[in-house]
Amino acid sequence: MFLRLKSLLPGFAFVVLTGLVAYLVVVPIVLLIWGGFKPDGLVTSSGFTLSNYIDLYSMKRTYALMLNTVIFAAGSTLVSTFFATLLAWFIERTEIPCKRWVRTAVIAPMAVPPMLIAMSWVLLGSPKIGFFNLLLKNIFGLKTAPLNIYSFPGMIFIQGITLVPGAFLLLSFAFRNMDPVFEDASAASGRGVFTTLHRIVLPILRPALLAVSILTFMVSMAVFDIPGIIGLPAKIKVLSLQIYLAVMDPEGIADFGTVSALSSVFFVAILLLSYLYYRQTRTASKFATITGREFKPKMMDLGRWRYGALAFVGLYVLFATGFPLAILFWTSLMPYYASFSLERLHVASLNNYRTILDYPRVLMALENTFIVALVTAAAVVFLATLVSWVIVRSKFRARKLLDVLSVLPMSLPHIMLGLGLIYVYLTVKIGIYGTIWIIVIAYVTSYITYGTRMLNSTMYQIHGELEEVAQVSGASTIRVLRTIIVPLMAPSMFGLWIWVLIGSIRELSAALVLQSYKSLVLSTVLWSIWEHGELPKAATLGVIAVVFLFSVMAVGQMLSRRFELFTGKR
Amino acid sequence: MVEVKKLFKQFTTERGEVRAISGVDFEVAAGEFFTLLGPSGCGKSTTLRCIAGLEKPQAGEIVIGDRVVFSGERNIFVPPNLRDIAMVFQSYAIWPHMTVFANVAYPLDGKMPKARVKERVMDVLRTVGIEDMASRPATQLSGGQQQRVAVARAIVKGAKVLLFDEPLSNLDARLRVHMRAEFKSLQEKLGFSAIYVTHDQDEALSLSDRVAVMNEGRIVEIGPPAEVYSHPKVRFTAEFVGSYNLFPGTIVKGEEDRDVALTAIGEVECVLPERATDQVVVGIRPEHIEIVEKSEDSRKMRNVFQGTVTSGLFLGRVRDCVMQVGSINVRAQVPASREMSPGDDVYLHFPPKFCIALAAS
Amino acid sequence: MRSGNRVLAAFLVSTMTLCSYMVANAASSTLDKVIEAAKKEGKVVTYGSYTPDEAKEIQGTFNNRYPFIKFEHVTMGASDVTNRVLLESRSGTAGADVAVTGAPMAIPLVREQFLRQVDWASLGALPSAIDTSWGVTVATVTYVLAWNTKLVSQADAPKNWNDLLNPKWKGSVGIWVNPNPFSDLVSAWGEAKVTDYLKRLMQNAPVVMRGGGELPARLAAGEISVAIVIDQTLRPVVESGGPIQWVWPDPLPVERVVATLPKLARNPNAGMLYALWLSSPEGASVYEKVTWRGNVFVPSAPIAQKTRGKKYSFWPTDKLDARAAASKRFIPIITP
Repeated sequence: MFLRLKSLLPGFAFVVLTGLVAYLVVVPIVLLIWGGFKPDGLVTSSGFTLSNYIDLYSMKRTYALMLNTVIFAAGSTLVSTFFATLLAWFIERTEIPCKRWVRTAVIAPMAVPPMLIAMSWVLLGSPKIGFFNLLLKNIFGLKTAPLNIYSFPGMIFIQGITLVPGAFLLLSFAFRNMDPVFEDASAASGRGVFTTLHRIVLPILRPALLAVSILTFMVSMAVFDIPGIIGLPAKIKVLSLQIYLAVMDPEGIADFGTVSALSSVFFVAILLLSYLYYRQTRTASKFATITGREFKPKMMDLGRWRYGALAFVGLYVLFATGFPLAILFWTSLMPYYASFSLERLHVASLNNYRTILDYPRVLMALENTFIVALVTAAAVVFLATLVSWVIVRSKFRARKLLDVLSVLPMSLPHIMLGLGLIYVYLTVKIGIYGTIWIIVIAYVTSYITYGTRMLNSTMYQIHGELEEVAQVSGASTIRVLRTIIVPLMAPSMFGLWIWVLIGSIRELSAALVLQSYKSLVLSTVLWSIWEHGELPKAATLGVIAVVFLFSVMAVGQMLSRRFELFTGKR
Repeated sequence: MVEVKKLFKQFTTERGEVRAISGVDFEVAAGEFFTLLGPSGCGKSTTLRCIAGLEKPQAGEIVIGDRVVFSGERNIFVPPNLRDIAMVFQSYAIWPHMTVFANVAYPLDGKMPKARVKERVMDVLRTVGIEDMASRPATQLSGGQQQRVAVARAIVKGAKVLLFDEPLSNLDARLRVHMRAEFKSLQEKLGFSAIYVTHDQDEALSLSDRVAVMNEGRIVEIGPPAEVYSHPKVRFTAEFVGSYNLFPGTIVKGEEDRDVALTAIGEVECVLPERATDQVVVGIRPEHIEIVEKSEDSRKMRNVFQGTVTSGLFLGRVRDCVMQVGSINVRAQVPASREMSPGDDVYLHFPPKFCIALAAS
Repeated sequence: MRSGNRVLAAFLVSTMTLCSYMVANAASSTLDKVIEAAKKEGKVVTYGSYTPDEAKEIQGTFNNRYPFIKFEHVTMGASDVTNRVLLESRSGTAGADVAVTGAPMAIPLVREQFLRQVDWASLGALPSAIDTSWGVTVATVTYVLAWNTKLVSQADAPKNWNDLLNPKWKGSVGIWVNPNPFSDLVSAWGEAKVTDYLKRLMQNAPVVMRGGGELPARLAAGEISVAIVIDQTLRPVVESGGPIQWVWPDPLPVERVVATLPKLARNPNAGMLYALWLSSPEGASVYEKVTWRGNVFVPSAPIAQKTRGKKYSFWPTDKLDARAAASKRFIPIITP
């Protein structure tokens, strides 16, 4: 009898896990879709109408908009995946110097709130005031500015660059865990660096590459700051912009009906993409690369390509991280937002840094932010590890459902997520409305997708037999998780933890919707400052965030060296 | 020690339901070395994994010791960690994040005081010959060393049943032969029941007390190696185990009640394991074919046939030849000292006791 | 005067004096009741677009007069205020006691009767601040034509609306993606004229941006040379030395910013007190000083003085539905 119960335990745990994820994910989505059938888009209203959907989808504009959005998303995904893949390969599998610094430098821009990054790019690439243009015009004596970010290609390129950190992080774990025997075999057959890359490495990492591309594609459909700051002046409209316009209704109450109807596009897109993803990764077990067998991590010697690789990485870091962060720092030193010029150097001062702590309740905001970020990061890692494990390793038939559930939050604009949660927790009065805990729930929900994708790909790479032999050796499920899975997953888990930590500090839309007096966080402080027009002060917070990121990563590198999680690996 | 009864297992794939094993039955006694031999996809690994509890069959029963660990009818399924078994995997599955010692100690962790664990682990490492590698990280081991760690880990908790899933396939030939011998002596010394899965007949024949030949999810034949080798009862066994010359024939009654098959090369006296059908294939192993003098006396002997050499390969110990006998190509292994050239005429003697007649289908 | 008239005059004067004395006293006695109740509540939660450091100063001045009220202010954009109050009210709670938002934005709350109706006059509020019973005007949003002084000389600078149609500004006029200023102009010009103007403006290829901090910042940086902005948003840039000057156009688009009181508020009297004070000359003055958002309906307010003589183009509160409808028609012209 006890044995019976015990054998039921995995099933029960599975149901609980799925239930939890479903609750986190499905509730806001259902509210979103249901709201689409209400005249004003809020589920609390009475009435039922199809007009939101009909109006939207009968407009020719809507389809032009969707086409634009797809092109934009596809373009930025291509740009992002291209850079992220090459960078991940160079850093994880080849002999280039200063890897730790390069890795941190690639990820660094992610600590900065996207609207600040966008404004930095304006100061770099705007035809009228951009630094690059002024420089090039000076050097080459040009009449017109050579670079124009206010164009479709410009927007795509910049958005692609801003998406690189996320894609890079995911891919570097996939690359890191790849058994070098595949590359060795290629080298032994006399193949050169690039042949090895594109005929051996890329195909083996196809599941990871695919997952990353799909995720990036979904993110680029939802992001808003670049389309808002660069796209709007350039008259390029994409879906997220349309949602913003719908929210900005002159009557104050946002046109949530339209927002819901538009967001349902995301939802359908996610489902489609998920389906595609499944068909591709069904054979993922063939790609198990952590086998425990002959695992000597060897860095590939690039030979004469070494300088090319160095140049590529160096130039990338310079242009994607160096310049934007430098301009951000510049902005923080200025009294008001202004382009870079030597004449202005004399007004540069650290005033903003001195006064930032004087900002009312900024200390409370800091405290709240830390709590939220730490709890969110821990919760996401915990949840994502369990979910990934169940999805990849267990034999429950319903695990596909769990996988789909974990991907769905991608389709929720954060505004809708926030509003949905307000509705839920005003109805289900467990006392978290208006506290930081409702913000934590919003963040955890929004990070589940990224977390499970990241851990999934690592989980796939762990050979099933490592777990099976533990079972046969007498270990219970929990013991297997604790002693085998978690240690092998630890680098990815840690990477995810840092990612979510930084992201939670930076995350804005949901916090804004959910904020209350007690739940002020750093990003809402930043937003007040921003909305108010004090860009330099906002930039200060951005710079501080970057410094924080660097310190966290430095500590992380130190710790992982101590642990020697994979002996001999760096 | 282990009883497997009427085991059924199917998998759901994109192509639909695939029957992996259909109705597998066998028993393994205590201390017996039992091998499942067969080509890829025959279901041997699946059977092993079912015994381990890593797969759940749809129907049947599995008993380990005196405990029913699986019963389809009574809805019993004991998870792998509660079965008294140990397993060695093809990939060795050595945990890369632990040392050799930690790997081997894992099955014992929490089950006995640390000092005893250490004692036992070192003991086992000594048995397997790697006691000086105890603190080495697992990633710094060669294939053969990882093999030994896997074996050490498997025997450390003294399980009564050890399962081996093609453990030697990834080793080079010499190491394979060496490890084979080690397995055998280990098993004899420690007395566990071994269920061994392989597609390599040399391993199967040299290690086992009994061999079960499997094909397409079923056991085709079980028996001691010598029998399976020399007196296969079923055509598939003959084709799979060793190389047989096989040619079709029809059974007719011969003089003095001997069994004779009428074949394309003439009458072949043979041994009939079971009189099931008249349509048979007659088989004889290349090494059992004798070259006899070309003389009239020989000509008149039973089971002597004339053939022409078409090719001969010098293999060191033997010469491997192909001869044309009538319309059939016959392979024979003759002492290397015997000269053979293409075109030579030879007389071949098929000793009746080595000619078997098996059911044709 | 004949003695009969003198007596009549004396009677009238004394009656009027008595009446105003009584009215004043009545107002102050109603007000006293509110103050007493507010003392017991002791706290007020506010939603509004002014920032925490602005709130500090504004609230500080209020506390000089009424020290017994503690503040909890949440900075939210106007439309966020509406949504929050709406959602909360529908769920049966109210997070805020005072919600400060643009009058047009408050309409959905009025429709669902989530706001208290108050007899502001009886509390002694300025008549010009009272335009509806569900809110009292505490400030006004006004729009200006601004330019970057480094790129545009005083002589070339735009003086009024039509100057922006000059082709010399092609591609360097910045406008907000929100059609608010144009919706306000409809009151003075009529929709046809505004539509025509807007279409001609769009032919000058204006650069469309999100509001808030972006327009002033990018103007100061020189990305655009001139812009139609809310004057208040220029404050941070100008105060830190940014090269911007502006004129108030004529007609001048004006929107009322109202302090509303959600019905389910937990501290209704404290809220009422605060709203009342904000609408008074004293409140308006400190509010304008701190946020640069003044109240043109308060005659003594600096902004009222600076814009004297211009035609204020604003919608009466009871006609705001029509304004919203006009806005909806303008959006596709700005972002086709």
